[in-house]
Amino acid sequence: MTKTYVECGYLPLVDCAPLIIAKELQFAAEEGLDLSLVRQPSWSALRDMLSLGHIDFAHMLSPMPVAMSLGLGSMPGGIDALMVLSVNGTVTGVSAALHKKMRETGWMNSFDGPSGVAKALFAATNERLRIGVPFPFSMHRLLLNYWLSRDPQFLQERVEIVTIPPPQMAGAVKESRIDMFCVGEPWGSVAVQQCGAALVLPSQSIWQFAPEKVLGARHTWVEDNPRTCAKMIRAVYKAARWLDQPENTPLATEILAHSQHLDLPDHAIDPALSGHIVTEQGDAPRYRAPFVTFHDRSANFPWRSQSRWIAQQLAVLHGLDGAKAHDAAAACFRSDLYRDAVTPLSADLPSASAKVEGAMAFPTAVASAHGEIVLGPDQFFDGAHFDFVT
Amino acid sequence: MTTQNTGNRGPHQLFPTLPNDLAATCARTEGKYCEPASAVHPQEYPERDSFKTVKVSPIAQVLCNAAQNCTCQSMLCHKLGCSYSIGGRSAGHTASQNSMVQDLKIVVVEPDPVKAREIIDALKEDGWADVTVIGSGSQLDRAVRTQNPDIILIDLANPDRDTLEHLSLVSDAKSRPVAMFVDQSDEALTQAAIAAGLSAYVVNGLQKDRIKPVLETAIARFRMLSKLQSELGAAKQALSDRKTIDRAKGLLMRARSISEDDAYSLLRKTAMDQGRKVVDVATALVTAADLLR
Repeated sequence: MTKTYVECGYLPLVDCAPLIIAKELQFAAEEGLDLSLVRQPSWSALRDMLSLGHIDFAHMLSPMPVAMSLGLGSMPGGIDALMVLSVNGTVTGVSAALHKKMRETGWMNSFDGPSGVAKALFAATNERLRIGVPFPFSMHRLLLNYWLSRDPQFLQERVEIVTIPPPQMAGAVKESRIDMFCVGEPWGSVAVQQCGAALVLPSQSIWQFAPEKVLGARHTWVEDNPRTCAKMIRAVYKAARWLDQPENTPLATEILAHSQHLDLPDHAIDPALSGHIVTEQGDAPRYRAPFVTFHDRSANFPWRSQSRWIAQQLAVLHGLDGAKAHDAAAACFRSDLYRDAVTPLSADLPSASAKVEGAMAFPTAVASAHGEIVLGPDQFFDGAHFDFVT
Repeated sequence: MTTQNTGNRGPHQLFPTLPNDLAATCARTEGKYCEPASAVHPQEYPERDSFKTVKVSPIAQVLCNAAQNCTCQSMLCHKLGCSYSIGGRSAGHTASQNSMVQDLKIVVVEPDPVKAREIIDALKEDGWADVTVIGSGSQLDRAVRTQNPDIILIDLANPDRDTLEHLSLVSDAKSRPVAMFVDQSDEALTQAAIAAGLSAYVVNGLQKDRIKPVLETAIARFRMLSKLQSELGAAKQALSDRKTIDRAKGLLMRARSISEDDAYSLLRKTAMDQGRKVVDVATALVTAADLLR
């Protein structure tokens, strides 16, 4: 059988695991794809490569396609999110100096409790907090804003957001260029090891079910190549399902560590996959599983309500008209294509394509094609609900 | 570029760390709009030949790619220009061409000191003296804010591009720079890029002999873009001025039962008596009428 050659761009982060597994364990080959993974130097470069048709698929930050359809950033829209690649998996950390000041306010690091952390942050210093994020259109940035802006002490002037590529985050903390950072693993753990930073929050304590990365492709290309897209979705779906089986974690860590696609040793990959996160140098790891979700709880399903939430937050940040933002964004999460692609795998799918984001405090059974499936929890730390269904 | 430059600074809110005198200059020029190119009533625009100010963001990036080594590179470069992304504040199309080119403030982002040295030498040889090299993106943010460069040279493979993306975003989002590149001599790709509003070219890394054409094309393209933007701004302004004047004429015609020509004459006479522009008088009248309604 002749395989279809496709190129997929990625950034070397732990959460590109489904793509590496799809290639290494031949899930892509099973679907008739000759998958080539092309490493990209930056998110902007990855986005431009995808937009210009140099690569067919890309591992993207979930807000990137939405931001592009809103006309934000230096490349116009036209990118569809075919599926969600991972949910959560990022951390917020503070420099050793800031951590010390925060503890002096009486706060204790429990690697949870966003309200308490925000309170301690603003109590610890009157100076402007310089916060590093990997990209302006990232879930890191949106969650950071969602979280901090809900603290009564928050003022826009009290924070300064700086864009720093993840591998440089630890260096920036070391040189005191930033006081705080939000970054995907392994770069949070690296900052702990290299410069005594302390991790104070995993992303799921801000939003329990935040779509972190998506599989992006050009809208026009998707329309012209529906079968190739469906094959890719199925290959990644199988890889993600394999990754979320706990017995596969050690092997997954090995494969990722030995893969030419990530230059990370196994001890850098292990914390994210196993959920054992060392938050401070010398401390025992804290267990926060699942730290990153690749498949369980319908994690791969591209909910239209997720894209609407992202659009709403981007609209707030960039002063856009909210209603228009929603309409432009909803279309780029392609739940329709995802449904069509995974149905032949007898995958059980939710009946609806949008949900009330933040409504599930516990794992909840909802109606599905085959009866019912369990979703959630997906709460926000402040208990807010976002009803985009109606 | 000293005189032209101060008149053409971008929006000053981008540069919270600007020295006071510069901030003051920005404040002075900030509200200035482009005089209509296609004037409704040309005689009413005594200032229309004064310099035009365009609000554009402060970065002109030049993006190159180190990965490819293609043979038809020079051909493509000649045909299309070179790899760059542009935006940047108005590089002053009122400025005299040569002095402007050579006076550009250039920041080079290049971690390898040997390569950086080569680039500086090449730039200086070609007459660009104001060159600063930044070893890592960690200083990029600060450098852009404090030095306010006209052009930033960065390798496409450099991860610090995301920092530049952020910087262009916090600048004027409506006229932000557009990233332009392609790393292969692929004609279809190039066309796609151009169709997408970008320009795509091939440069084999930040190489010494390629720098001059890259910069020259970047500047030429930039001038074209800022001219287009100023023309668009001028056309929009002319349209909105005409609407205001039409409304003011209507108000006068109704209030004083005079003809359209008389209404316009009255507006013009008032403007001349007060040493103001017709559109200013018209705006005042429309505003007053709205308040009294």
